[in-house]
Amino acid sequence: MTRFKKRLTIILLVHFGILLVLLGSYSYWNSLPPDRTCASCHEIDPSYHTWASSAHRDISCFDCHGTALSGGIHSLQEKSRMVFRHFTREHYDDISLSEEQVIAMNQTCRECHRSEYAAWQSGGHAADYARIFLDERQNSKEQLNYDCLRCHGMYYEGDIHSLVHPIDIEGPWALNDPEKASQPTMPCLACHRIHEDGMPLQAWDHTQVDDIHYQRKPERIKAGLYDRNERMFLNASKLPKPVMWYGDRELEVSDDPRMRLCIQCHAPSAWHQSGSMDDRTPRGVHEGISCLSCHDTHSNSAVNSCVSCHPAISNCGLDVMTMNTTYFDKDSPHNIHFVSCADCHDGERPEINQKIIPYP
Amino acid sequence: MANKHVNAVVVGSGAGGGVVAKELAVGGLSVVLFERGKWARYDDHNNDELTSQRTSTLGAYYGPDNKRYRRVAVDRQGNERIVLPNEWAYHNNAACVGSGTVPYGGMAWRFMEECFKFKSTYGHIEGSSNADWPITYSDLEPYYVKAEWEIGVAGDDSPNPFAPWRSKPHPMPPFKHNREATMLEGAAKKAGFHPFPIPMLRNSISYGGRPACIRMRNCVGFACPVNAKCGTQNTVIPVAINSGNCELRIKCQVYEVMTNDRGRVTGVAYFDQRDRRQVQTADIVILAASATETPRLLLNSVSDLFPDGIGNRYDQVGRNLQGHAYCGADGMFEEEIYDDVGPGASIAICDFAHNNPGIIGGAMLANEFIRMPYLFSGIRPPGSKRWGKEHKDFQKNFYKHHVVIRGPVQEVPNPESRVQVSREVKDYWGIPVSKISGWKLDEDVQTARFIADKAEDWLKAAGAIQIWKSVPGTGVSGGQHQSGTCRMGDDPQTSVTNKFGQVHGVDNLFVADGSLHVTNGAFNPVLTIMALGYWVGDYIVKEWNHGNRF
Amino acid sequence: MNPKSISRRNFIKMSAIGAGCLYIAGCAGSPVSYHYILTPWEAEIVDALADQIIPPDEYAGGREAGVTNYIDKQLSGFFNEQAPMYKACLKALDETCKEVYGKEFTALDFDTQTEYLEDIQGGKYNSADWYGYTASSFFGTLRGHCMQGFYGSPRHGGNKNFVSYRMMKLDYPYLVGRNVH
Repeated sequence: MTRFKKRLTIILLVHFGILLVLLGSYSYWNSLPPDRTCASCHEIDPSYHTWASSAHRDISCFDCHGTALSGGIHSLQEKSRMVFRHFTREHYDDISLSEEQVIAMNQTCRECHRSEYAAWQSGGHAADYARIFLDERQNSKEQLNYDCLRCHGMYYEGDIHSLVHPIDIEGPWALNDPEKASQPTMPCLACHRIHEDGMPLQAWDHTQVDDIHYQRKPERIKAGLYDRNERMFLNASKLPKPVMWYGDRELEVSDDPRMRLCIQCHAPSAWHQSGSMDDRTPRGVHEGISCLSCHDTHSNSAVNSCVSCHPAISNCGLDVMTMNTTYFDKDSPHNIHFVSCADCHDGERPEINQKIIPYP
Repeated sequence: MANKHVNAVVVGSGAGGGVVAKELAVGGLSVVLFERGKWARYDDHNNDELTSQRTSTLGAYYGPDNKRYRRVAVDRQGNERIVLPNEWAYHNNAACVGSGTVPYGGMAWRFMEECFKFKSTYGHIEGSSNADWPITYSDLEPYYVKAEWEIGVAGDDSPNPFAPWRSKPHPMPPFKHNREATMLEGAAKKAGFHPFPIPMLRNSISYGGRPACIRMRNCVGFACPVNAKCGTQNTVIPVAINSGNCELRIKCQVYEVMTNDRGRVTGVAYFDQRDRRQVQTADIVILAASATETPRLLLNSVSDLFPDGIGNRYDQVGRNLQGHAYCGADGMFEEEIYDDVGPGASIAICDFAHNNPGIIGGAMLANEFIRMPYLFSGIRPPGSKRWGKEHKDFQKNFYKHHVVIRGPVQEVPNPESRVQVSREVKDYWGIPVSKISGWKLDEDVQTARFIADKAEDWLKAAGAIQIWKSVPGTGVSGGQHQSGTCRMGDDPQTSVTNKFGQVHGVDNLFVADGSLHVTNGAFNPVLTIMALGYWVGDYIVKEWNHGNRF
Repeated sequence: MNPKSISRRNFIKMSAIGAGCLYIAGCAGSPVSYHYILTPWEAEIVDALADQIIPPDEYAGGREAGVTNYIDKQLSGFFNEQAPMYKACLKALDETCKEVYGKEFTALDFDTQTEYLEDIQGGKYNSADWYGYTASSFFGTLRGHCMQGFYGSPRHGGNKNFVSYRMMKLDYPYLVGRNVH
């Protein structure tokens, strides 16, 4: 009996010793700067370099990717796969976040970007999986397909068949995983990249004239598109500038790179006719202006935006605060995206001011 | 545990196999449908030219994979070399549920009446095994209709005076031409040709519960992101499965057709998902594994009664391999022709498909599918630099100015173009692989030259500023259009099956894929393979009589 | 299964992770190549070759577009059987270059490099012993790989920021919307 106890004590002590060493090295490891730890593997080199010159360089790798143990199964799998590939000398360069991590990131972002988060949450882009994929009006008209995930649920790990059933236009539709219902389909990382180039957020010095917000120089575009197909983020300035048509006439399209991001999902038909399918490229009196001239970047709200260009009354003498600007009905003559002089004025198109407000 | 005996085994879930499985399952037979690949998921491969079925530089995503599959290619001097699935000489067809009907462009051609009577139209040709089909266009017409309506075709051949007669119009209206096709339409009329929209196995309107095509540039070589392409995987195969009579068994490699000592087929032997040997017994077996794999299966099924393989008593299995002698012309235009409305091919003429004085056969001519960027980097006028500044500038400045007209020239069957099995080379499972050898006859190249001239005429009429023609060499053809290796006929000495696809001398073994084609038509063959699937399936169901017939 | 065996298994797991961590910490600071197959010297030559095949202009050339990265990635993957050929031929290419021009390949000016490569492509050095490989056929392979890296999908390591699509004025990602709403 005593011999057993003795052996047990020794075993426990040895285990305890090992545990101490492990815990010690684990916490030491996590406290080191990333170039001594994560980034000492060349697999991580590219990600490390983009991070080191990003606006978020003050945030540690662990905050988003988790530590070896804290990041859940995805993180553990990814890290062991990297170690394995490191020794087999196979390429491994697709370090990524799982969708779970991406959605969790929203809360991390919120800690610093509170007003943007609030604006996002108030707008359509905060739509969750239930809202998007169980929409009877849409689903009964057009069968759900792989391509839906290009714009909604771009981080979803699976395909449309594993997300919703049935895939037909009869319904009723249900999500295979009910937990997804309340998750956002377009999280912060749909249009933002943590590793995007930039300077860390700084407190503005409002005694300096250049720092007052309306005096600040326009910054480099930081938003972009997470392309589900390539599993890659592309800055909006690298996105294609659309060539758009109204009949046979090529439309003037704003140079604002941010608009190229909007049109990726609010996309026209392959014929690139203005107003086709989900497109809202302005034509008529508003031809050539950017989406962002009226819409807020995060909430997408355009409420009261008219007044920023048309104090009180429009060029036609209408009260811009109360006039009909319907945007739901594409065919309405009032649709603010497409309204042209000829929609109200018979005959010849009246002389209009052709000057287009350039970007920015 | 042994597999439960079924009425029918279908090997291969492509254009032919998918249709037969559905016909039998709906007709009340219990069916096991074998597919060596898996369900193709658009998400695994989306928009990637280098792994697309057309380029497959980094392997063909829809399979087969380079690890387990190989074939032997033999040149005209008799030199053998091992080829992998992503090489052109492998003559790959996709290995997934639906096979080629997943990544295909989906041209839905009916063969013309002359295509079924190649020998009586053009006579005997020295060195060939030229023959008429044992069936006529009229026999197959109702089955073309079935294929068009059940699987879905958009088209209108009323502007085509050479179109064979039809008993029912296409179920969907044709596609609207993009800028290129509109320009070519005017040019063709100017040249005196009769242009019309290509019939397509693709939804021009919502059809079969699936949405209409969104006209992307990535189409041929890829699965459809919105499921607008009509293949067997999203039409007849789900119907077969939903009937409750058909079990689809994926990732299973069938390697032998089993026979008993009375010369009857008893089922098939296969490797399952975990590479275990399995047996599936059945009352009848239908092979629809493609024109290279169907003969391989027959030739590998050796027994005392069939020492040279099943159905091979007269050394006919694997002979008469044909694809098409593709030819045409490339043209460069002053103005930008490309408007990014996919998938490209949409206008055709049948003026030269048959009845060309002094020429054997012919081809329909159509504009080409959109060339992807890497593919285009290999397209240059003769004598151009293949790299460096000039090459890059061409890519930059002329991509949107390039138009291609091509046509599938119907080949004269050549018994020396053939699929055999290799004695030395084996696949991953240790089964002898297909060995492909042979050549095109000179007549094919002559016809190709004639057709390429016509393509040039069309581009000239369209105002191309530079044109160069392409005419194939005499190498054996096959590719996705492979056919002819188990051709149908009334004479067992010159064919492998009777006119219902039933292998001569083995009553309960059928073939239902491109192998049955006697000649391969002046057209892309897929709709004819589907129609033959209905033809064979219909015959089996009608004659089935609760298993007492075969 | 008793509770003790689970804890032991966890210990083994933990120990393995711990050992891994320590090992990797040990690597820290040692110089590592960004590439897997190509040495920094080889990568420099491939960079120069990539810029010859697709020269930079107002759009990125092969080097900047990550063609070398594509080649390295494929040599450690789908093209792994060609890695020995690359290693041998890059060495031979440089050696022949020194014999003919008295300089390393990367030290030649751009036009001389072009001239040399045209000679290689034309078969002028096919009689030279390139460690059992043929100079012109290596060049053909390399040319193909450069085109794939530049014009293929960015996911394979080249075509950085979709540069070739932008150059060809092709919308990428696609601008094609759904059918109805």
